[in-house]
Amino acid sequence: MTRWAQPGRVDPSGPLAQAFGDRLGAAVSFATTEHFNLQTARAATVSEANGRASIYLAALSSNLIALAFIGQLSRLGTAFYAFALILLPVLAFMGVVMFQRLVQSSIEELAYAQRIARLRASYLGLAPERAISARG
Amino acid sequence: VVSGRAEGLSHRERLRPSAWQLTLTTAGMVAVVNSVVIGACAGLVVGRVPIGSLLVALAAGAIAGAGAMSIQRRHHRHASDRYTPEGINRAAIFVPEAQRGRS
Repeated sequence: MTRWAQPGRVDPSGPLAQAFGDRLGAAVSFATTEHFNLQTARAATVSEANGRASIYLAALSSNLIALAFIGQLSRLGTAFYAFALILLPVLAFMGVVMFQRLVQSSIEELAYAQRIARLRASYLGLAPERAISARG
Repeated sequence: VVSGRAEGLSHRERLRPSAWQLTLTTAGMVAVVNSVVIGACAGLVVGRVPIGSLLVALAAGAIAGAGAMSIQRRHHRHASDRYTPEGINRAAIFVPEAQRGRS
């Protein structure tokens, strides 16, 4: 086993590694730090989407329970309709805004995934012999 | 995305998820629930009109809900189609000016 075939070593004879020259170590550190930051940001978009969906569903279910109470109390009279026609449009607006932000979040997450894929491609450029394990 | 597609994704490959796949996302789920809320709201409004019967109110609610669903799906599809790798180095949620002009 040569020195560069050992785990954790990068073959410096690759064209990308040669292009970096003496700055290869710094470049790899930069890339791995960036990879870590991108993963963190991507996880944040996922948890934000989950949190928003939970808030929306909680508001919706409490709204429906309140509507059921007021419907029983007023025997589906004017109070029920007034209550429903105030609350439902508010809920619909909240849902539209929530949907917009969730679409933005999903696209943001896609962008992070794509940036991570670019970094992975650069890792494979630095160490082509790692291609099989990286694709597992 | 992660397994084995790094090279393709790093270049100009377009990601185009199916309509069903978009429905499976969190945004798609909220769109479905929101359409039901909008449909119910429209049905209640029509139900309060003296000329409207239950059938008319149901039809109005269904039409409003389907319309809201269609608009939201189209928006979702449009937003995911507008995204390209060139937009990566800007804030990821923004669309470059050139593309905004074309769409």
